[in-house]
Amino acid sequence: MRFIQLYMRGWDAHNNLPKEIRDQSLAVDRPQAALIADLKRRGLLDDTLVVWAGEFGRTVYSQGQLTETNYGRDHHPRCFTIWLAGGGIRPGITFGRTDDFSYNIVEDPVDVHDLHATLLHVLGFDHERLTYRHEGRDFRLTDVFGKVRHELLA
Amino acid sequence: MMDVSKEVWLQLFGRLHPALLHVPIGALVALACLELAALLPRVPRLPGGVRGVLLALTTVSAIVTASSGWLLGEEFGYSEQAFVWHRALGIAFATTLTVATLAAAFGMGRTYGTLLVLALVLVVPTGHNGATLTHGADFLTEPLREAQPPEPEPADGPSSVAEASELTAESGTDGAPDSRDAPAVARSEPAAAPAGDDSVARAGSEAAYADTVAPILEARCGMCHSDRRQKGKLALHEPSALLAGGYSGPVLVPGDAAASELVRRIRLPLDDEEHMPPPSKPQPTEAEIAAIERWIDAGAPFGAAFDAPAETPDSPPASDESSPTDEAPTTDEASRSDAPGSATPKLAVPRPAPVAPVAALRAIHVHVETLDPTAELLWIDFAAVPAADDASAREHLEPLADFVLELSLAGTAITDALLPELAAMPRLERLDLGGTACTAEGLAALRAAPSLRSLNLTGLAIGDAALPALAGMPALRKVYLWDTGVTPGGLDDLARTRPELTVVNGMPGPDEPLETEAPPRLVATPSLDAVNTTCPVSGNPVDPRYQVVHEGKVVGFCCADCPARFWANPDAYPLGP
Repeated sequence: MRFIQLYMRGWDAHNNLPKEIRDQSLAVDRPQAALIADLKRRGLLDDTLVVWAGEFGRTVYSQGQLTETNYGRDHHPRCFTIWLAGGGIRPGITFGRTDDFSYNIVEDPVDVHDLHATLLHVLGFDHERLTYRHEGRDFRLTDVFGKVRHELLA
Repeated sequence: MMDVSKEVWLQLFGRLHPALLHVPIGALVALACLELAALLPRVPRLPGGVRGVLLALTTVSAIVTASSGWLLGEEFGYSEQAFVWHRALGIAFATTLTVATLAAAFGMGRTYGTLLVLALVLVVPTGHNGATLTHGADFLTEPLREAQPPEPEPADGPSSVAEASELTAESGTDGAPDSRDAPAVARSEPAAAPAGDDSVARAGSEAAYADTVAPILEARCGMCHSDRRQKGKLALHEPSALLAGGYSGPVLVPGDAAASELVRRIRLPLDDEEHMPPPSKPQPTEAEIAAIERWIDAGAPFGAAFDAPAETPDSPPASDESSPTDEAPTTDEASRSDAPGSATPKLAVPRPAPVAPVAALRAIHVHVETLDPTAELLWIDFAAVPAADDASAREHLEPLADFVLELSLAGTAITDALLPELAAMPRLERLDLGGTACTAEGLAALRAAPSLRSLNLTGLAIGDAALPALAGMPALRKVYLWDTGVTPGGLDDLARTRPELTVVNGMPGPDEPLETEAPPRLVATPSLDAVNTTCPVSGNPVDPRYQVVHEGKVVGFCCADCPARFWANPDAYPLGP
């Protein structure tokens, strides 16, 4: 199985957010749409799993100097968004909701372990049976957590 | 239920047979020599007492030997000809001696003498058949044969496609038991089954038979079910025997361990009459039983080193390690395949893909991946070999024609000339021809493909001329036509004739409705409009930019300073209109 990771920095805007977020988004918005479109057109999308994710979200409240052009947002791990596309993933849905303050998840939370289990399932692995040995002990990629979220699957 | 310890005592007595048999033979020969010597001049006749002692010794020991032999035969369940003769002759031997003893006791000299000679004569066939059981039929002449030059052995290759790159040396040999071991006495402890945890885990794989299952069967069952003896007419030492079964029918249902008699008997309670192996013998461990079950459930594959029995005389050879230049008779497979549109046709005899052609492909950097645990189905991708042309593709793919499920020739130099061969692949379901030089006329050849479900033609300059060919592909369900020059009109016609065919023709343009979802539903739906129009602190009109949520209500203020004052003491500023 071939795996490609594109690592993009610059999203951690604790200040100067308006300019930075605009530049980042311009850099990534059309290319990611084109990637999906190209994969689909060429018939490769069914064999490819595209995952667009970060490590946490941003707070709804701001921080920093709090001027019109210079403020930032802090890290927010309680809820954040990723998107998936490709083989096995149900297209055109949103799954899960946060509250009005984008602070907590109120509907259909997907734990990170659930996400891993679902990704492994799409790749053909049973996350409870795939183990690896490290320093004499067997480990699972989902430790003792995670269940496959079939609502996300096609 | 038999008392187990009594059974063990009887078995121990039975096992003395190979030792006990020497006594009557030795005593009989001594007696006969003495009697014969008495015929010579000047040799005294045998005193009656001496004759009596020797005769008694011979007869009693013969009866004891025959009894122990009988019990030994019961324990081992021999069924071959040598055993049948040996038992009959052994009984005859003991009987002859008994009658001879009686004759001597009653003074019937001539009868006694005749019977003595008869007993002597009987020693030869009895002994020979008995020794055949332990040492093999050609034991006596073996040194003659071994003096001749040995014949060339067939090369043993890796037993599976998946292991080809590792080239393990352990696979490929038949798990036949040693035919020279004396089974009765020497094998009191059958070899511990070699299946460790790793090999058990691989029990569903293609190497399972030679590495795992055959040694288990040999160790746990080989004493009574092998090429040397077949209790219940069942042998378990090689694939044809396993598949043939025994007295009460087949013992293996490939693909269904629960329905296999072999497994049923192993899984019975220990005290059940039909439980196998017999309770007095070492039992297979749970891991070993599970390994056998898993192997049977995987279809009981025997690996490339074994010839699976061919169903038709013209079917391709099973364990094919042929060079890539061999012609695989694909037309046979095509004619045997199921009706178009049905599921992937199974081969008549399940078998893994041949190793050498796969290795040859990988050597030229073609990606070959097995898609199922028995290594029958392959995904072949020529992505790294854009220079591949018709000749090299044909040469490499022909031996694998029966096994290809998914094939990508995208971006290679192949042409229409290869398409008839691809159409003949009986199990080809997904084919990618994007960016090749194939034309609409050439695509018509793919109408003969029995299993082709998905076809990728992106970038081919074919236009609407290719659409009739697509309509004529019976199994086709999905086709990719971006950048091929097909027109919306042509696609409409295609949709009319083949409504179940999904066409991917690029992404929806701005005129087409995007895939959307319902607007987000707020969990709590209070309005974000302020409930008041005048600031409670100053009384000025509310500026909607300055709001505070207080006690579930949105309160508006006139400026940036009032919210702080309100929040410090909300009760001091009652809300107005």
